[in-house]
Amino acid sequence: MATTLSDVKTIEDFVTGLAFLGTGGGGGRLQDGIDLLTPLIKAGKPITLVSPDEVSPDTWSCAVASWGGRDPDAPPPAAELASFGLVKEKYTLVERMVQAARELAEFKNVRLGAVVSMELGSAATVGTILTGMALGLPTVDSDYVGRAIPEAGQSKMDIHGIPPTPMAFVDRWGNVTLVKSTVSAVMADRLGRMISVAAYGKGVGGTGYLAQMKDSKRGFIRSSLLTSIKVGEALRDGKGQKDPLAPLVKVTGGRALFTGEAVATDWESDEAFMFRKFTYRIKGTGAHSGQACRIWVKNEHHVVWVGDRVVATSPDIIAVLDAATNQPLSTRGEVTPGRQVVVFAMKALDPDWHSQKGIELLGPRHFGFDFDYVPFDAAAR
Amino acid sequence: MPTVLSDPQAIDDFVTGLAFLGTGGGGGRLEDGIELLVPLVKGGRPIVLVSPDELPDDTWTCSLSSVGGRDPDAPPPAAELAVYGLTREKHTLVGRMTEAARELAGYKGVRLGALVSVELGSAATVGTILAGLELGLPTLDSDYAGRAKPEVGQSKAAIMGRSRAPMAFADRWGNVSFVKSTVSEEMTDRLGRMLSVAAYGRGLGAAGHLMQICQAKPMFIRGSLLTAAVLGRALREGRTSGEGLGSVQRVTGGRVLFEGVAGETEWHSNEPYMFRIFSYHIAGTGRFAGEAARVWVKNEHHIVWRGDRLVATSPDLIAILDAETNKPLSTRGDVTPGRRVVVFGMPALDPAWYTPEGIGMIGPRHFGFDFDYVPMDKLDGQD
Repeated sequence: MATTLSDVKTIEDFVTGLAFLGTGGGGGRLQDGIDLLTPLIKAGKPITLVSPDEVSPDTWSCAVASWGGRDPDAPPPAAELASFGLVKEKYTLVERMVQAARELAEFKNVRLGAVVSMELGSAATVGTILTGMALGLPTVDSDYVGRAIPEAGQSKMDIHGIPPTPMAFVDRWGNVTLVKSTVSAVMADRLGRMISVAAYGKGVGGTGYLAQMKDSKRGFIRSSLLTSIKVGEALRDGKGQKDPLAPLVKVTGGRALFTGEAVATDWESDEAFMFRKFTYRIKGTGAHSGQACRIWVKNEHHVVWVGDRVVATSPDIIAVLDAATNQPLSTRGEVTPGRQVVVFAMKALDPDWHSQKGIELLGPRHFGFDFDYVPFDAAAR
Repeated sequence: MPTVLSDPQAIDDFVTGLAFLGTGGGGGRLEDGIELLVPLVKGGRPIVLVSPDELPDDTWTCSLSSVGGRDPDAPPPAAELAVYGLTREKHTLVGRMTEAARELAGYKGVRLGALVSVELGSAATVGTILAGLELGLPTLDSDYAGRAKPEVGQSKAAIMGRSRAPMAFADRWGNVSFVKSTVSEEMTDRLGRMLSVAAYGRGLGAAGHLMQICQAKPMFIRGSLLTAAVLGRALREGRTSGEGLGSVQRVTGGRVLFEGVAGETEWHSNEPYMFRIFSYHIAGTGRFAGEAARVWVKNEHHIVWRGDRLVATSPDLIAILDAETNKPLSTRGDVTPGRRVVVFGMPALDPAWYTPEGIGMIGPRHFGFDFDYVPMDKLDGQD
């Protein structure tokens, strides 16, 4: 059944849930998504999400996302940009996603009937919805990951062996690059990231996983956008309550791993335009007083330690919330020293992530750690 | 009329001329090109270069080259490559160029009838010819630059306003990408180079300039491959006859700018996989004794100073030859300290390079220098 979002409160819940499930990444801050959708609702344009079952099996769809990483603090010198003809930005982030969808459809000579959010995240999913509206296409109430991910190739489509290529990339200046075929999905990601470096970052619109509904269904995390609304509602309901996380625990089956105060961010990669890789250090307060927590980040949160013990890892979902407001915090400079935060984790939305292939694609060993995925229920003991 | 190269001597002359006109770059060392072509002619397969006039006007053509830069001395760790599935090389350099041509034609749904080397250079032009043999297509006796050049967008086609995109890029592992459209030729180059970084270098096959021959003709440097053969022969004959560079001067209208012993190479950029940017320092000998020359390189030779005095810049062509053998030396480590070399300059093959667009594209200001192009003859007149 189609889901319609027609009031500002629902939009806020939706985007808050997306930011939560975005595990720190997903292409932007919470507020970015709210700022993009709210004007539409206020103007009387409801957001409609269609169920995959409402769309005919031969409908073509593509996944839409934004590609990027750590943008340097200072923009590159204008003279350097000018030497490449990069003088005037042509497209907003959403427009890049729109163009990327158009280019991919044109490349394969198909007519798109729907768009799919590559992952869950404030900018990624909201960008997909706005892309759909610009193209007159519905957004499906499903995504390919059920969370946000740092690299292409980490999706349920990949678990089932369906490659992301061909992919289309459009940058803010208007340059269009197509990645036709690669030896691996990770290589497609690497090419996309280099295309982003070429454009001096700030997000490249990227599309891939061009498939007919009958095939794309295999990779869907069903109803994940609706789930986001419920998560957002739970975060709102808990705010200011005695146990602010009680509704969230009820909806997600997750639990708080740590409560404390952010101390520092230790960057481990300062490669411009590539991944945001760093570790948060958090010192415990309340029940965790005297303890220390670390969270390892590659665009998103992937590993949590309390002391020396690994207490949660991807593919499970790890969120960092503002302790006072329940607001999910992104890895884009929101976990500032002194901020009171709660580290919360829940099981991945789709059981496929706990298959051997799923853990291989998104577990700690994928990120170079020499320990295994820690099952969520086992870690509680 | 087609030009036929049917014996090892003709191949040697041809590739030597390509290396000379490649002004240090063009994708590889002289030997690379010779080693690729000689087995073919020895096996009874002559190399045929056709004139654009021999083909129907509606023949589709694309240009081919390899895109790359400074490869690091040590290859990346195998474990790093394996993360991206880069475990087995699939294509040779010629194989990549062949794939790029196939992919570009497939992308735009056209049937190619001939190939064009984007520039003159041992690997670039020989690679084009071999890709043509692989695809069953003739290579034209023309190119788009009349020399080698460091950036994708520097060509007579660009001077005439024709973009090289859409371009197809194939790397050694088998990854294929297209740069469909860009805001500038410089940006096309930058994207191609980043695709090369993604593949850990060693050269990408690149296809572009997809045009029918009637559109492409005005953008060609006509007969430039034959010119390379004539020039290579003059270099050989000068060596064997003891005449030195006299016949080369007659053929090219150029002259010796400096003679000396190569010193250390001063690198200006260390960025792996990007451009080879450095300066040669050469200590004068003979009539240049007591003087010092410097040659500034971005993949190719672009500027020569004698002492503080500018003596030649691109778009004029600058070659560095081994003083004993007349062999053109590439910027891939051929100019070793202690080697006796001759720096030779000559005018560009095509007047298009001397238009404001041409000079803007490859003159000294393009490379960030704060002085203008001055014709070689005017610069050296004070001798």
